Amino acid sequence: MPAQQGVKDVKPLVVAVFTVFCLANIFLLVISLLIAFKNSKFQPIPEDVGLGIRMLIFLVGAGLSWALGRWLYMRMVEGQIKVPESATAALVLLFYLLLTFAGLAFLGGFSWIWQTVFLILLVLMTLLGLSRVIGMRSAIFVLVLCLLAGVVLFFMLS
Amino acid sequence: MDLLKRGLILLVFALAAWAGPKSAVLIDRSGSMKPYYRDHVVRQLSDTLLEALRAQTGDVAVYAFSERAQRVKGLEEIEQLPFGDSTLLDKALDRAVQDGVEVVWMITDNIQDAPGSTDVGDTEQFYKKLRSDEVEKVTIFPLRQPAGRPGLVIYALLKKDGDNDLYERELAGFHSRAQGILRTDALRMKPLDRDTVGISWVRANVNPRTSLITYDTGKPVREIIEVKFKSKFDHIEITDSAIDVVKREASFGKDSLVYPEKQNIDISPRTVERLGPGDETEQVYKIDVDLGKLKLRNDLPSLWKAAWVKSSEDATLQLSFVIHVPQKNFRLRPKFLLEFHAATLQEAKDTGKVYAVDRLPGLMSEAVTDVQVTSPVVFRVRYPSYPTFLWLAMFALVALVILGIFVGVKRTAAMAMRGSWDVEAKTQAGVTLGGGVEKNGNVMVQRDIVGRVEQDDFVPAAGARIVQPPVANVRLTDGQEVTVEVSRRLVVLKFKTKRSAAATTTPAATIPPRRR
Repeated sequence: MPAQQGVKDVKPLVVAVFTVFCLANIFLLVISLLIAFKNSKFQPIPEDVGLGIRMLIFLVGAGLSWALGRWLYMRMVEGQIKVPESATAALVLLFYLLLTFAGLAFLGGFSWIWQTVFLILLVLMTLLGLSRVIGMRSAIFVLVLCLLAGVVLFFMLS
Repeated sequence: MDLLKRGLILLVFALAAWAGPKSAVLIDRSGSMKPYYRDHVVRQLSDTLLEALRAQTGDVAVYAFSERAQRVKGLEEIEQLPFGDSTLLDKALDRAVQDGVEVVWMITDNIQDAPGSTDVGDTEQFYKKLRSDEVEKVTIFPLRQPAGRPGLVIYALLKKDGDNDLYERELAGFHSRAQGILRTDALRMKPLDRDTVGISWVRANVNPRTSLITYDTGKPVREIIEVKFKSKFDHIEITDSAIDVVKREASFGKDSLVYPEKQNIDISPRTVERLGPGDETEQVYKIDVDLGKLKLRNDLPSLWKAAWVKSSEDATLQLSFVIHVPQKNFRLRPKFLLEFHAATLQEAKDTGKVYAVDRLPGLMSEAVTDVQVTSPVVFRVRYPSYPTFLWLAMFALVALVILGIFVGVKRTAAMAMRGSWDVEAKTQAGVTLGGGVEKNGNVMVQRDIVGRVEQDDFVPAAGARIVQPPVANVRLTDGQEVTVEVSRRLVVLKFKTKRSAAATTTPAATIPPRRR
C-alpha cells in the first residue's frame, strides 16, 4: 500500500511538468510560425544577437534539462515507478525542455521546420513512453489541450 | 555670493557686447543707387532684411559703403551721408570681416557710378574673393525692379569658419519674409562642389539605409547598382561633364568587424550630359561594385564581438564620385534667366532686371569645378560562426586544464601520503611475486605485510625479519635489495624510487591482507 501511495504522489508532478514543457514548446512553435508566415517582428531574443549567446542559452538549457530530468527520474524511482519507465519518462521530459531551450536560442524564420519535426517526434515518444507513467488518457488530454492553446494563440497574435 | 554671480553675469554681457554682432548688412551708398533711395526702395528692402535678421540674431551691424565702408546706426544715418563715386564691394566686405562679422549681407546694384559701365576691376576682385577660401558660402538674391531702373542684388555671405547655423537661419528667415513682398529668388552659388549633387537609387540590393540581402563573410560580393544623379541646385544646370570614381582604401570603416578583399568600383557611362536644377539625370548609371570576399578582422576584440555581441552588422561603404564641370558648363536655367537677367544695362533699366546675371556661374566657379558626389551604401554582413566555436573550444580547454590541475593535485597529494618508493618482490629463485607500497606505507607481497616504508627507511613488520643486509632497519637507496623472511619463506624486495605519478601498485597490493 505505501508503494502505491508513492506512485499516486509523483504522477501529478510529472503531468504538471509535462504540461508546462509542452505548452512552452507550442508557444515557441507558434512564434516561429508567426515570424515565418505572418511577418511578425516579435523576437524573444534580438535577431542579431551573437551566436555565442545563443549557444550559451542552449548549453545552459541542456545542463538544466539534464539536472531536471535527473531530479524527475529520482522522484519517479522514489515513487515506486519501475526504473525503465522512470528513465524513459525522465528522458522524454528532458528532451521537451531541451527543445524549449533550442527553440528559444535559435528561433528564426525557418526554425518552425525543425521545431515541428522534433515536436512530432516528442509527441510520439510521449505516447509510447511517457504515457506508461502518466497514463494514455492524461497524455492525450494534455497534448490536445496544448495544441488547442497553440491554435488559439496563433489566431490571437496573427 | 550674490555679488559674485551678478559680477559674472555682467562680465558675460560685457564680453558679448565686446564681441560685437555676428551679422551685418552693408548698404551701397554710391551714386548709382540714388533712384533707389529716392523711391524708398532701399528703405523697404533694408527694413525687410533687418527685421528678418533681427528675428534670428538680435543684434545686426549696419554699414554704408561706396569707396569705403563705415559703420552707421541705421538707415536714417546712411541717408544723411553723401553719395560716393564708386562701389568697392571687396573693400566693404573686408571691413565687415575685420570687425568680426561672420554673416555679411550686401545690398547693391553692382554698378559703378560712371554711367554705362560696371566696375569691372573691383567686381572681378570681389568675385575672386568670393571664390577664395575666405568665403565659405555665397547666396545671391537678384531683386527685380519696376521698369525704369535696373534690378538690385543682395549677397548673403558666410565667412570661413563662420556660424553656419546662423547663416542658414537668416537665409531661411529672409527668404520666407521676402516671398510675396519682393520679386526675388535665392541663388546658391557657393559651394558648387559640395552637397550639390546626390545619388538617386533606381535598382539595387543595397542603398544608403538598408540592405535587402544578407552577405556572408568568406563569399565574394559583386553588386550592380543602378542610379541616377540628382541635382540639389535650385537654378544651375550642369552639362557635358566627365565622371571619375574616387579610389579609396578597401574598408567599411574602423568600427566594422569585416573588411572587403578589394574595392573595385566602376561607373558607366562616364559622362553627365545634362543635369537640370533639382532634376535627376535621364540617363541611368550602372555602378559595378566588386568587393571580392568579405573577411572578418582577425584580432581578438573582433573575434569576441563576432561571437558574443552581434551576429551581423550593417557595413557601410562610401561610394564616391567626382563630376568635373568646366566653367562654361555651369548654366543658369532659362526660366530663371528670363525672369532676372538683362544682357545690357539699358535692357536692365528698361525691364527692371539685373544686369549680367548669366555671368554669375562663370564668375563664381573655377576653370573646372570638381563636384563631389558621395553616398553611403549599406551591406548587411553575417559574421562566420567559427569565432563562437573557437571561444567555446577555448573555454572547454580551459575547463579541462583546470580539471586536469585539480585531478593532478589530488593524485599528487595521494602519492605524497604513500611515499616515493615502489617495490618489486621476487623469490630467491627469481620468480616474481608482485608487491607494492600502499598509501599508508605498508609494503605488501601477495597478501602479506612484510614491513613498511617510513620516509626512506624500510622497517620489517611484526613476524617478518630482515635477512640481508643484516640490520634491523634498512636505509633505502634506488635499486636497494632487501631479503626478508616472512611466513617461513625468503622474499627479495627490490626498492625503486617512483619515476612518475602514474606509478601504481601491482594487483597483488590490492588484495586484502591475509589474516595472520
